[in-house]
Amino acid sequence: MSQESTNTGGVSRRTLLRLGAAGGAGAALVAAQGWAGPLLAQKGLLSPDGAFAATSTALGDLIFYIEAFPTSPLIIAPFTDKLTIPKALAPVPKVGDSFVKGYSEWNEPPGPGQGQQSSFKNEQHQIWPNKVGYPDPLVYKIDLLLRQHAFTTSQVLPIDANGRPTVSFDDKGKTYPAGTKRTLPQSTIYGFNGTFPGPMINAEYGRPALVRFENHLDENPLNLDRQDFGSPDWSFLTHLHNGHTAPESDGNPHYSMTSGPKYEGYLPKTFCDNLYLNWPAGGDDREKQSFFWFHDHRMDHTGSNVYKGMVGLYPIYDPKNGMDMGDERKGLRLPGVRKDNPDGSFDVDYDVPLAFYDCRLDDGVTTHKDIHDVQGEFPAAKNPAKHPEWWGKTFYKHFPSHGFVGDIFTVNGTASPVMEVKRRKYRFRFLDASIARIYEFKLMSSTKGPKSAVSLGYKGDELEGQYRIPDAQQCMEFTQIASDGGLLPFPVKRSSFELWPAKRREVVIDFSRYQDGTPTTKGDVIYLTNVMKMPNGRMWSNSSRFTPDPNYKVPVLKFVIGDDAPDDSVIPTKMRDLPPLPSNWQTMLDNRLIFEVERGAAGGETEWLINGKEFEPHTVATSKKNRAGRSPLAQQKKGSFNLWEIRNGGGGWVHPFHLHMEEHRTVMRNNKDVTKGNPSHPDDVSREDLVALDPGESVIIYRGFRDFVGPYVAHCHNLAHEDHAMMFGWEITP
Amino acid sequence: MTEKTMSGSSVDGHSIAAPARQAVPWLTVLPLAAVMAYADGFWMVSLRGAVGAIERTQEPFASWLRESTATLPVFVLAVLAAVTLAMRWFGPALSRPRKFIATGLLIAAAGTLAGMAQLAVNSAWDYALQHRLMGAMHHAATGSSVSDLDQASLTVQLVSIAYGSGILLVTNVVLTGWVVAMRGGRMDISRAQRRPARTAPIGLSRLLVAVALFGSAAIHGAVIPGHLDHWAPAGAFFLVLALAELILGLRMLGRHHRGALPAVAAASAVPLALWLWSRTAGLPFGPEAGVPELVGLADIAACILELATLVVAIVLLRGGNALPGRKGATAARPPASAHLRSITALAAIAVGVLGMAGTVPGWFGEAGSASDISHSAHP
Repeated sequence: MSQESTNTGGVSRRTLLRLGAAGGAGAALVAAQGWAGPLLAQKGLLSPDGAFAATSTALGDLIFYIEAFPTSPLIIAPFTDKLTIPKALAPVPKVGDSFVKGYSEWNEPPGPGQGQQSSFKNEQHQIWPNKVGYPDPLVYKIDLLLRQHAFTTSQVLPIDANGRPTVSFDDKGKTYPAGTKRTLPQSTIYGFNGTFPGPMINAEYGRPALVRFENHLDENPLNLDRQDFGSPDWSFLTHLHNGHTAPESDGNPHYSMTSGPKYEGYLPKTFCDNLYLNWPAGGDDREKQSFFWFHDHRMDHTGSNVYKGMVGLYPIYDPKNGMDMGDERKGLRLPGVRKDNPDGSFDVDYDVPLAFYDCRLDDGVTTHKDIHDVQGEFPAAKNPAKHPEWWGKTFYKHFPSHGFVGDIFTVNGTASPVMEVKRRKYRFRFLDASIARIYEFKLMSSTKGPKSAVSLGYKGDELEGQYRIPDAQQCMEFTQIASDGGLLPFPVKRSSFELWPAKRREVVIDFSRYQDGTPTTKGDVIYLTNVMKMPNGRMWSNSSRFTPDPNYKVPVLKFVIGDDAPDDSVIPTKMRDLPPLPSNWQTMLDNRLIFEVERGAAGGETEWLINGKEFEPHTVATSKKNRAGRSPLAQQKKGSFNLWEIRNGGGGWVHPFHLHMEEHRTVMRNNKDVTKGNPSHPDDVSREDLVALDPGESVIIYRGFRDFVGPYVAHCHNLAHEDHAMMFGWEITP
Repeated sequence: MTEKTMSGSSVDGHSIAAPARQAVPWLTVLPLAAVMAYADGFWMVSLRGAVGAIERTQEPFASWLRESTATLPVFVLAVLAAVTLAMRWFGPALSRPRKFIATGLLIAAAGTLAGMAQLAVNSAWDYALQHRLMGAMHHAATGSSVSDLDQASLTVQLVSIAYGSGILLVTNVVLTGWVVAMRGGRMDISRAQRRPARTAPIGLSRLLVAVALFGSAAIHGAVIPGHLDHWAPAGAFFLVLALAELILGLRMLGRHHRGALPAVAAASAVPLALWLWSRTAGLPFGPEAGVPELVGLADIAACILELATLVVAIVLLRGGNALPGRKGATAARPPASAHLRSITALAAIAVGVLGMAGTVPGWFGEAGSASDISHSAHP
């Protein structure tokens, strides 16, 4: 090893070694810049801390948190089942007849008195409608029932992750050879009135609604297998998202654990009356909203209960001056033909809610295993185990790391449905009722139609959505008229829009002509198409905002143009003004409340935390230290307004962060004033109840705290994150 | 290897009459220790991000910098130990490729051992914090006991150590090869001293006592401000103690060190006894009389140093004329090699540095450090 011995024809071995080592280091640097850099940048992790976060995530995925999902069988005949358009639920009459009991005749009738709010007899409605000059509420009754649901009537072909035909099973223990086409068994659901989605209540401002939610989940008249997800004690807690309601009617765990049931939810044989005043915050018409949904919020099991079916719809109209009352001849003349029913409800034609929900069906060979098995919550399942007897039924495991995404996309409970539309304008109310999936929708046409992803050679995560339309081209635009917080100040043309979990967007689609002005003809087909590829619940891999994948065009809903129909609707130029921001809002920045969502680990799995703490239902959270050097409690005086900052603590996840009780305005995003608009998040100029947090983002919102007092929550609406403690309690004080 | 390492007699053409003494090859030891410390630190912080306690997963880059720097002396110690062992096994020069490769692997293994120790301590700390979090968390009405979660947490931490050790070993082997390559294939395990020592080296025991005293003084000095804020007499006590340890350390390096040994023993025994009292029954005086204090990294490090000082001081006191470094003793026992002396000093330095780092609030994610992010009880 002497100096002399290392000479090799002019270049010494020592020099060669040095050059080799330097070259290796250089190559590593180039690889880091060329490959890892853009990857980190795409996920918002291009920073020293981001590099660590990405490495931690990769280690977690590779070694510690294996999330195994089944591949759902391929639906052979998509777009043949008709889209279900729910009819409005009828209120219960005050006095019944020979067929139905009136609510005044119930053993425990609803009312304003002490003890009348729930079967626990320990609460009272904070504001009965007469206190705000409203009439007594319409009363609805919704039972939580154990029932079944079919996502498709089509036959299916069982496939594996590589798209190859595979074996399948049934509940009798029979195994079917690969290539056998099957009819799916129905999935077990916990449903509002036993349906999925549950009932739709068409509500109106000025006309309160009281809904009695009664738990019958202990009853199993069809002798169904409950499987291994859903609240194990069959409790529920219903939240009207994002109704301006008192805590006792809000259905949030901070309330339920400290008052009322003093438990995570309402157990079987109990009920609660949720009173929805249909009163805008502060009595301000500019605070009126237009589309709520109600869903389960049972602590620790919100995701599994929602996934198991606890979803209902609640469009709300504004009859004041006929502005938005579902009659296209009046007010803003938005699409809708109202039909008042004799039972006190009303339906609105051409005004269609669309609830998006993705699921996975059990393949019988994927092992069921998650933290709830460690906790022994479903002992009958004997997990970790495979469950061939559940083949074809919904599969859900409570993976907290990514969230949960399905590979079958459903609309109003039907996979790949079709809707025949008239040649006229429609109003669609979009709702993302998924656990974690974010969608980006476009309206596209195709000459060759959908092809199965399997037939196109895709495998693994690329099979999600099952079908693609390779030759699809955008053919129409949306006219967005509303977001979470109701009607926008003016309509906005959108070629596509993102829909995050729990968010609502309302659009008008004119089916009489294409975007280039060409008239449509009967029989034309347009596909509502998802172009956001999201292989797991963490975040997208491709979308229009970040490296679009031109091959990812998944048809979700097929529109077939039908006959002409009268159309008295117009697209207005001006709708609802925004409530004003105070001119001095920037002076409030120093004293803002700050909440950072973070990823941690405890109990052998990932936990999602806020300000370093997991959700503690009996406590009010404390802000991080603000610029004024204070760490205030998350308490606000009734009638006050404040700035709250929500930070994404990084780690390569997006978080749809939801704040109960009142809508907010986004005023700053990543320290930039966005009150005049933000191309990345166009909805920042509207009122919302959910902050869309890209990786590493910080968002400052302006919120009010009016009309009610008591405990509320704020949480991530990636429901796997919420159920793993990404929530905090806050309250309004008198 | 190179002629520099062959013998001390003909380096650069200089002729040295005295027999060559082997010196520590710092140009080999330090780069290897540094790259392994920071690379292993990267993996450790990344693993913590995957499975660690939330209190310790924020600002990973800053955590990596400070923790890797704080543990650098441990890696230097490990590499030096490996080099010393290689010198004992293979002689001062690595004459054959087999010995060269074996030495490289030995160094990588030593670095991995240091990294594994670091990983194990981190995992233990993470688990302790997670255990505490689970104890405080809301207990769901459904589901089983926290002990199941606790067991799952422990399992994940053990898996983390197992996988992490493998990752560290591969990383350290690659990095050792890379550093050696960058040095043109050189990996010295010793070098010849260029000049003969002008004075006899300080005995190994004295050196250990002196460095340990300096380390204790540094740790105690670092906690003075905190104690002054809390209770002034305690601050004054640590000020006096730190000054005493500093003075005694300097005396141990001087010629008339023997007279200082009783004071050295006392300066070690008294704080040790007080520490034991305060962590068990609690001191009977002060603002929190009778309340046992929590054990922390800094006080454990100080205790280790004090214990080592006390033991060696007693040995020196009882050793009489046979003491190394004492007049006439060198004839009875040859002075320790430079490698051994460096290992001894480095061990004390490593403990001292870790202790110093442990005095900085939040650096090692001690319990309750996230004071600005706590929840408050519902009124």
